[in-house]
Amino acid sequence: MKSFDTNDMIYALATPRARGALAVFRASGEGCIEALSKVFSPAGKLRDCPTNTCIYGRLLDIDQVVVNVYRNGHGYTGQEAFELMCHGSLSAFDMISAKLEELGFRAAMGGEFTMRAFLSGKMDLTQSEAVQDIVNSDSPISQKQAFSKLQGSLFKAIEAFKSTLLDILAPIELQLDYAQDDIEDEFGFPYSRLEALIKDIDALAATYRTSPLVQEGARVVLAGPVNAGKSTLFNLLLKSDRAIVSPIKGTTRDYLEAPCLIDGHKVRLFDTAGLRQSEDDLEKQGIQRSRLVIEDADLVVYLSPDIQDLESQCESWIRVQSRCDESVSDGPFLKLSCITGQGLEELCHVISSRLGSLVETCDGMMIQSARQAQGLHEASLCLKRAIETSEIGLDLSAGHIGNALRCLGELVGETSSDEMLERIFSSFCVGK
Amino acid sequence: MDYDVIVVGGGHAGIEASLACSRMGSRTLLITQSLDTIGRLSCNPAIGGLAKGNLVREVDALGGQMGHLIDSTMVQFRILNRRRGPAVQAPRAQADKFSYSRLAKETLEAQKDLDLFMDTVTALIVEGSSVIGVRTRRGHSISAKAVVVTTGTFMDGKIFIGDYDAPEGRLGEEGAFGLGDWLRGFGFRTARLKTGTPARVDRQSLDFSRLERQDGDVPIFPFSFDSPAFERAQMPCWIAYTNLATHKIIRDNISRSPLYGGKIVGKGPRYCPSIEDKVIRFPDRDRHQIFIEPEGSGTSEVYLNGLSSSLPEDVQNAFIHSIEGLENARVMRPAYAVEYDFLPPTQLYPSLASKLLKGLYFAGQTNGTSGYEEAACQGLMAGINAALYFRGEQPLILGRNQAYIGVLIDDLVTKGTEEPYRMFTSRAEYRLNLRQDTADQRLTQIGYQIGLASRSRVDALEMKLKSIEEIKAILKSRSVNNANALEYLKRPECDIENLINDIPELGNYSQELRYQTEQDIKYDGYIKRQDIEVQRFVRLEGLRIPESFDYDSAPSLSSESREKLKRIRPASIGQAQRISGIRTSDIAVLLILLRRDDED
Repeated sequence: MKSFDTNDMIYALATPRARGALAVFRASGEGCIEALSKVFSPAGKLRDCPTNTCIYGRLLDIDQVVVNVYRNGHGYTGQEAFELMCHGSLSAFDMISAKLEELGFRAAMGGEFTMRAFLSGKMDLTQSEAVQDIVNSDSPISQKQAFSKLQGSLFKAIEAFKSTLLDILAPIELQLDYAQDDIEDEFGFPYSRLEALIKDIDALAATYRTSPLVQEGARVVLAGPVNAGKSTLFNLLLKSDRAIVSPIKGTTRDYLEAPCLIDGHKVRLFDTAGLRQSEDDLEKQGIQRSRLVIEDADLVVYLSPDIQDLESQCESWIRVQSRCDESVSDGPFLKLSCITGQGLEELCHVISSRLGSLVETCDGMMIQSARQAQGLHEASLCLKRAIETSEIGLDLSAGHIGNALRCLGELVGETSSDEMLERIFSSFCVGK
Repeated sequence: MDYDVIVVGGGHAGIEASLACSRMGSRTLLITQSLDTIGRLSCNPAIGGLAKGNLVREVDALGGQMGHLIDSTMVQFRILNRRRGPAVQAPRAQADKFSYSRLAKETLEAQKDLDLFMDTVTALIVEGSSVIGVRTRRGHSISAKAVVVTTGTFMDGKIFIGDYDAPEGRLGEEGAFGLGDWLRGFGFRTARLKTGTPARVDRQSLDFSRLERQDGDVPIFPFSFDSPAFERAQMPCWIAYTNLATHKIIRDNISRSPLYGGKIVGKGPRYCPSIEDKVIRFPDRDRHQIFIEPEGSGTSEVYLNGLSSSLPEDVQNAFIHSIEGLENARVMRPAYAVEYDFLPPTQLYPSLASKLLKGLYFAGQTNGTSGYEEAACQGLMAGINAALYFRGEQPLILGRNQAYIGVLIDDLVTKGTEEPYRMFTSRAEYRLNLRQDTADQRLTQIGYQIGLASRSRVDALEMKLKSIEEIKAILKSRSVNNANALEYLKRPECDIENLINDIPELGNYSQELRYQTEQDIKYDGYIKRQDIEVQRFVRLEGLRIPESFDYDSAPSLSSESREKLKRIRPASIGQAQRISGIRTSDIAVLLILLRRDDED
C-alpha cells in the first residue's frame, strides 16, 4: 500500500544538479537532525544546537559542509528540518544522497516540502499547486503513461519482477497460512530463484548510475569549419544569446557548454571553435580542446556550407549543410538556415531520434529517476534480508519478501494481500 | 425500556456479544430461534488454527468466553507450525461438540443481567435515526437502547443437496425469514454468500487399520490466559486420501451439482473449496487429503474434513465408498451447501455500528465472514461497543497493529468482501507483533479498562511479564559454550529447553514462559525494526477525519475517490489510504481540506 506520510524524513537537492561552487540539500521530518548527526562531526554540536543556527563540520568521508538547523516550528516546512550546503560536485551529490537514504531519508516527491509547509501553517498557497506537483511526480509508471518505448519496457520489467516475486512468495505464505499436514506439496526455500531475481533487480538498478546519458544529458557537440553558423545554432537551440556571434572567422575560441532540451531529451550542448589551420596560439589551443570534446561526444552535429567538406566527414555524424539562405546547392544533407529557421525543426527531430536510439541500446530500458532507483535498491535489500533470515523463521523471511513487493508496488502499482491470496488459491489445492 | 441491549442470534458471535454486554453492566436479552442450538459447531468440530487461534486468544485476553469454552471441552490439542516461526504458529483443538454447545448455554444462563428468550426477530423498531427495539414472529415488541444482529447463515438461508433444496440455515433447522426483507426495505444492501459442510459418517463403519492416525500434542497449552495448565486424555484424528476412482465419480456427476448447474448464485470460499471444486480445478492431482475428526466423545459421528460437497446423496455415497478405509462407511448426515444473506460490511463503522441506524450493530457471518473464531471476535467487539454506546462512551476500535481482530474488522469495513472472509496471517502487516502468546500483553489492560477483563487477569499478566524479565536476567548472567546465554539463544538453532541442564534455575518457570522468552529474544531485532513502521501507521491513524466531513465540498477530489470516500466514510487518513483505488493525490487533497477545516 502506497503510504502518504507527512512526517517522515525526506530530502532533495534544492539547487540544480550541476557543477558549481556550492549546492544545497534540503531535508525535513521528525528526527532528521538526530539522524544526520550520526554521520556528522562534531556530532554533539549538531545534535544539541538550538534552532536557526549554522553548524560547520564534516560529513564523514564525504565533504566539508555547513548545516542550517531548524527545530520543530521553524524553517520552511515548519517541521524539524535542515539545509546542508556542500561543494557542487556531481559525485558529492551521489554520495550525500546515498548516505541520507542509508540514514532512513527518502527522496521527496516534487511539491512535498511546499505541501508540508502548508500543512504546518507555514505558508498560504494556492492549494492546487502543491497537490498537482505531487500528482505529477508521484504517479507510478503506468501503462497509460508509457508514452515512450523506454517507459513501456521499464514498466513491463518491474511488473515481471513483481509477478516472479508473487510466485516465490505464494508457496511461502501457503506454508504460513496452512498447517504443515494440510499441505501435501513438498516445500524448499527458494534460494536460487531469489538470488536470480536479486541479480536482475540489481542489474536494472545499476543502469541508473551508469546512464549519465539520461541523467545529465547526452553530449551533443556542434562542430564544423569556422563561420559555419555553429554559435548561431547554439543560441537558437538554447533560445538565448549565450555565444558571441560575429561574421569574424574564429570568434569562438574555446568550447561552450550549456544544458538544454531537444524534443524532450535532456542534452548537454557544446559549441566548439571552428576547425581550421591557425597560427594563433590561443586559437590552436581552442581547436585542440574542441577536438577532444568531439571525441567525447555522444552525438556530433557537423555544420558546413560546403558539400565536399560534408562528404568527407564521419558518416555517423549528423551532417548539415548550413547557411542555406545564402547559396543553395543540391546534396544529400539536411539543409539549415539559422536566419530563416528553415530546417531547424527537422534537425531537432533527427537529433532526437538519434538520441532515442542511443538510449535504447542499453538493453531497451533504463532507470530514469532517483525514486525508481531507490525502489529497486530497497527491494533488492529486502530480498537479501529474506535470504539471511530464512533459517531463523519463515515468518521473518516472508515479511521481507512482502516488503520487497511493496517497494516494487510503489513503482508500478500496489499489490494487495488479496492478490497474494488469489495467487495461493489458484496455484495450490488447499482447504480443509 | 425492556432491556439495554438485545442480541439477535445465539451462535459464536451472539454468545460473546451477550456476555460482553451483560458483564459490562448492560441488562441484556439474547433472542434465538432455538434455545437448543446455542453455540453449535455447525461445521468442523475444531476451534483455533493458524491466525484463528490468535483470534481466540485475543478474544480471551479482552475478557471473552471462547477460550474457556474450548479449554473445557477439547478432546485433542495441537500447536501448528511450530517450526515455521513463532509469528505464524497457533493452537488448534478438536472439540466435543455437544459439551461445547451445552457449556455455552450454561454459561449464558448463569450470567447475571442476561436473559434468554426463544423467538424469531422479524423487524427492528426505529425512532428517528435510532433503533429502539425488535419485533418478533410471535408478535412481541421488545424495546432496547441497542441491538446486535448476529444471524449467521440463517437470514434467508437455503440449503442444497443435489436437486434437493430447503429454506434452512442448517440441515433440519428452519432459516430466519422476515428480517432480511425488513433490512432491505429500510435501505440496507444485502447479498448472497455460500458455504458448505461435509458428510458425517458412523465411526463404527470405518476400517481404521487402513487409515493414518494423528495424535494430539502433549503438553496442552490452554487457549485461555485464565486457565491453569491441565492434562486430559486425547482422541486421535485419522487421515484418508481420495483416489482416481473418487475423482472420476465426481467428474462424471458434476452436472448434478447445484453449484455447477447454476442453482447457487452466492460466492463460496476459495480457501475452503468443495471436493468437486478441487477435482475440477486441480485435474492433475491424483489424490486429496481427508481428515477424519471425532465430533465428540459421546457420539459415533465423525467429520470428513476436506469432503464438503453439494452433490446428490447417491453420488456422495459413491465417492465416499471409493476411499480406502471408508469402503463401508455409513453416512449419518449428508454433506450440503448453504446459501444465505449477508450485509456487505462496508455499511458499518469500525465499531461494527451501522452507518444507517444509531444503536444497531452487526457481527459474525452476517458481515460476510466464515469461521467460529471470526464470528466470536466480532460478536465480542459489537457487544463491547453496544455496551459502551449505552454508557455514552467512545467505541473501542483495535488497530491493525494491535490485534488480528483489528485487521479483520478494518478489512471488512474498509474493503468489504466478495467471498466468505477468513483470517489469514498474511492479511496482517505486522504479524511479528501479533503472536498468539502475546495477546494478553496487547489486550488485557484494554479489556480491564472497559470493565470486561477481571482484575485477576491483569495481576496474572503482571506476574507473567515479571517472570519473563527474570528469565532474561538469568540468561544474561550466565554463559553457555563461551557465549553469553542471552546472545547464544539468538542463534536460530538454539533451543532454550536444551539450556536447562546448564542453567537449572530455568526449570523454576513453566515451559510456556520459557518458550515465550526465547521467542522474545530471537525476534527482538526484527520487532524493533517493525516498530518503526508501526509508529508511522499509528501516526496516520491519528489523523482523524470528522464523521460529518463533506466530501462534496471538495471539488479537487477525483470523482472516483469521492464516491468511495462518501461510501466508506473513513475515520482517519490511515483508513482512507487503505480503501482500494484511492489515489495518493486524493489523500494529499484530503489533508489540505482537513487543515483548512481546522482553521475555520
